[in-house]
Parts: sequence; structure tokens; C-alpha cells
Amino acid sequence: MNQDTKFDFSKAIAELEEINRWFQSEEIDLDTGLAKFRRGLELIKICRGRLKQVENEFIEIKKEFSSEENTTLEE
Amino acid sequence: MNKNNQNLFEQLRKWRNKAAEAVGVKPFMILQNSVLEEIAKIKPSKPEELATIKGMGKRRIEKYGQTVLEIVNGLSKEEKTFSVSEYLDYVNAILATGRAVIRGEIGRVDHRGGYTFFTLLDKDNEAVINCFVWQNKLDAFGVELAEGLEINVSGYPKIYKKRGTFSFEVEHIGLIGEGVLRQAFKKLKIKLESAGYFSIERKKSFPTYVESIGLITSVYADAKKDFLTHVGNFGFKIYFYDVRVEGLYAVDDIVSAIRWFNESKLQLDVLVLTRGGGSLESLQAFNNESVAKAIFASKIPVITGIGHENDITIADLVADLRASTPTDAGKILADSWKKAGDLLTDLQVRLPSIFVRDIETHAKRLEGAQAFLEYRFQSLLNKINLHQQRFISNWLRLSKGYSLVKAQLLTQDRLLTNEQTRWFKFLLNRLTEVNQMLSLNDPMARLKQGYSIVSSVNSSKIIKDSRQIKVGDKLHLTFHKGAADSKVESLER
Repeated sequence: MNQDTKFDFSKAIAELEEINRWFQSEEIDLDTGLAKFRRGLELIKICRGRLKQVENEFIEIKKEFSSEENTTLEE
Repeated sequence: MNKNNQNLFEQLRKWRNKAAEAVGVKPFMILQNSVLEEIAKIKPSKPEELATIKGMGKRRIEKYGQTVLEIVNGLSKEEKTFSVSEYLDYVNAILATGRAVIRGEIGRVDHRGGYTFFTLLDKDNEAVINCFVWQNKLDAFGVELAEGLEINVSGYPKIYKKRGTFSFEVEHIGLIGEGVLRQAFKKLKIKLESAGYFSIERKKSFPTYVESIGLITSVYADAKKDFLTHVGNFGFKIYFYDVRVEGLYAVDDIVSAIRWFNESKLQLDVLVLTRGGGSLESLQAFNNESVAKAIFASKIPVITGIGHENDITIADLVADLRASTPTDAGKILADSWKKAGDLLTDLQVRLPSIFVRDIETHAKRLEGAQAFLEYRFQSLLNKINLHQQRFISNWLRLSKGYSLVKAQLLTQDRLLTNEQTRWFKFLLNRLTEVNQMLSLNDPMARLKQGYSIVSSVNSSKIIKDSRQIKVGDKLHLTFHKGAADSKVESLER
């Protein structure tokens, strides 16, 4: 409805941690390593961008917009 | 909308707003503007016609139908004569707007069929009202109605058509007094616990970095302010649903809010249900089975932050995460974001260091390999140069030698050619000479000139001296032409 392609911060962090784990545990193949390294930097950049966006968005639900089935008087 | 319709709409709206005010609900909860517009346009005269209008459910027609029809038709009709039933419907529609909360003491209690009837008393003023509640509703409240118990009831008045008796239909029952509430709390807790409402396995997890929040609390509550202050500014999307958090209407509000968020397409990470501290009585809505069920049924994880630190409500127990207070709920959601910057720095530092270290070893290896290759290449190049130089010098020498030989050969050849000619001429001359000499010396040629060759017949020797012969020797004489034999007769010496 209102969501465009949503960037998921939690997922991005999880992916970053996964990349770091990969670098620690795997026999590192240079090509894959480079790709993962780049992906890591990209994620960090996006995450930092997200952290910069500090202002909350406050949306008050206007119950007038809800259908009458959701109102309290109807059962 | 034409003017007539507009007038009717305005009248309907006035009534609707008054009715809402009387019950303390938002006007749209009675009837939405779009429904009023439709009524003004169609101008129904019978309940069946009213039923064709979208938004006029059975319950609404029952509650407001008569009034609405009255307003619509009152404009065109001077007088209406009701049947008893019609009139009671009409009165009930008006009474329905008298939704209220009443406090009193329970008198007589009577369970009958699907209902429980009871009287509510004001002992001091000797006033009494007949109440009834649907049995299944009563069961859900977890309240045992007993004589002498003081309670709050919410609901609306109604005339029971078959008997013409006035009664109050109870929608909710609120308990009064610590002891009673504590008892009810225990009872509900045991019931829900055995039904698995509190089990840890079914608690939903929410993302570490919550981004969108459905906030359910009262617009007036300190809880809202506390939560918003402590959740901080981390780019949250906060959808705020205003509900009453105290009193008998709170239950419906909270249940509606939870349902609304679940039905919406907002893709929320979490719902936060919160209110500040209060007495057990004022927290009643959070110790309510309907609210517990709504939290339990929510697909969106629910965080509660209700009351003071030590207040634990049924809602807290069912919730996926219990924060101790509204402030705590905010802090919990803010915490990971506060640390996110440092975490990112850490991740970033680790990322390149790990990779760079690896790159460095690779680079060193590569550098080594390159140096080695360069060295090998250089030495090969040197060898090639050496060979090339040798080859060139050899080539020069060879070609020099060749030229020399060639020149010599040419000279020799030239010389030879010259010599040959010379020799040839010389030899030819010599031959001619020799030939001449030979022809001069040819004894036979001399014979032509008259010379003769004398030889001894005995020894065949040519006689050049007279001492070689003696008288009587026979001599052979050879002439130019022919020969003769003779005999020596005398000698001269």
C-alpha cells in the first residue's frame, strides 16, 4: 500500500555479519572474496545512509478511513 | 447533491453528531458521511429500503433505522401513527444513543437460557435497573456475578418488545475493588495459561532493527510521550492508533486497534501497546480476556509496556515481549539503533582488515611471483642478447670471411683467366717453335736436301765417325727416296 521497495536494515546487518563470518571461516577464493567485499562496503554505505535519516515519521491513524466493520459498535 | 438532498443530509448529520456525542464515540462510528449522503439521496421510507444502502447493517438498522426513517420521512409527512412494534423500534433507536457506564451493586442474579439477568442497585437512593448480558459474553469476562458485588457496567438501554420492559443490555463489566480484581486476574491467568497463551514457544520475534511501529495508546496518556521520548529519532515510521486505555470502553478500542493493524497493509515490524501506571482497576482493560485473545491472535509481534515496573498484566503475559514501562518499551526499540553506528564501524573495520590481510598475502605472493618471473625473463633476455651478440659478431666475421674469400676467388679467377690466355698463347708459340724446330731437325727433311744416313749393317748404328768402320764393312745408305747398301773400300782418317 504505502511501502515501496523497503530496505530492511536488520537483514542488511545480518548479511554483513554473514560476510564477515565467511571471511573468517572459508578458504578464501579471491574472486568471491572481492565480490563479497564489495557487497559488504555497499551494505555499509546503505546502512549508514539509513542511520543518517533520523527523523521519525509520525502517522496518526484516521479511523474515518477504516471500513465500518472495524469500528467498535459493529459486531 | 441537490438542495433538498443537502438539507436532508444536514439534518441527518446533526442527529448523527448528537448521537455520537451522547455515547462518547466518533461520529463515523454511528454512521459514516457517505452512508448519510446515500440515505439523503434515496430517501428510504421502510426499513427494507434502508437495508439496501451499503453501510446499513442489520445492527445499525435495529439501532438507528427508525430514527433515520423518521428524519427522512418527517420532512414529507405531517404525522405518523405507529404500530406498537414500530414505536418500540423507534424508541429503542433513540435509546441506543444512550450508551453509558453505570456503577452499582448487584442484586438478584438469574441465569436463563442464553442470558444472565441481574439487577443493579443504588442502595442509598433505593434505585434499581434491570440488566441483562449474553451468557457467552459473561463467560468471556471471567466475572462471577454475585449478590452484593459492586461493579461497573457499560451498555445501552433497551425496551424488551415482548414484555415492554425496560432493561440495560450490558456490553462490558468492570470490577471494583482490589480483592475482587485480584481474584479475577488469578482466574483468568490460570485459564489462559492452561490454554497455552503464555507459552514461550509461540512468542514471535521481531527484527533487531525495528523500522515501523504500530503504537496503541491514548492520545492523552503520558505513556505516549514517554514512549516517543525514549524511542528516540532513528527514522522510525510510527503509526499511532488512539485508544482509550482506561474504563469499560477501552477493551473494544484496544481490540479494534490490534485488529486494524493486522488487517492493514502497513507491514509493521511490531505493535506497541502501552499505558502508564495505575490501580488494578484502571488497568482492567489489560487484564481482559478479549484483549488477551487479540494479542494472541496478532500476526504482528506485540510489545507491551504497561503500568509501573512491578505491574504485570495479562496483556504483558500474552505479549511477545514485555517491557516494564512505556519508557522501557521505547528504550528497547531504540537500543539496537543506538549501537548500530558502532556496530557498522566494527563490521567495516573487520571487513577490510580481514580482506586486506588476505589481499596482502596474495599480493606478496604475486609480487614474489612477478619478481621471479621478471628475473627469469631478464636472465633469458640476457642470454638471448648474448647469443644474439655472438651470432652477430660471428655473422660479421663469417660474412667478412666470406667476402674475403669471395674477393680472393674473384681475383684468382681473374688471374686464372688472364694466365690461361697467356699460357695458351705461350704454349701455342712454343708448340709452333717446337714444331718448327722439329721440322728443321727432322732427319728425313735433311735427306730431301741431299743428305744421306749411313748406318752399319751389322750393328745398325748410325755412322758419324770413320773410326767406327773398317774396310770391308757393309754400310746401309738411306736416301730421301730409297736406300742402298755399299762396301767400304778405303778409309780416311
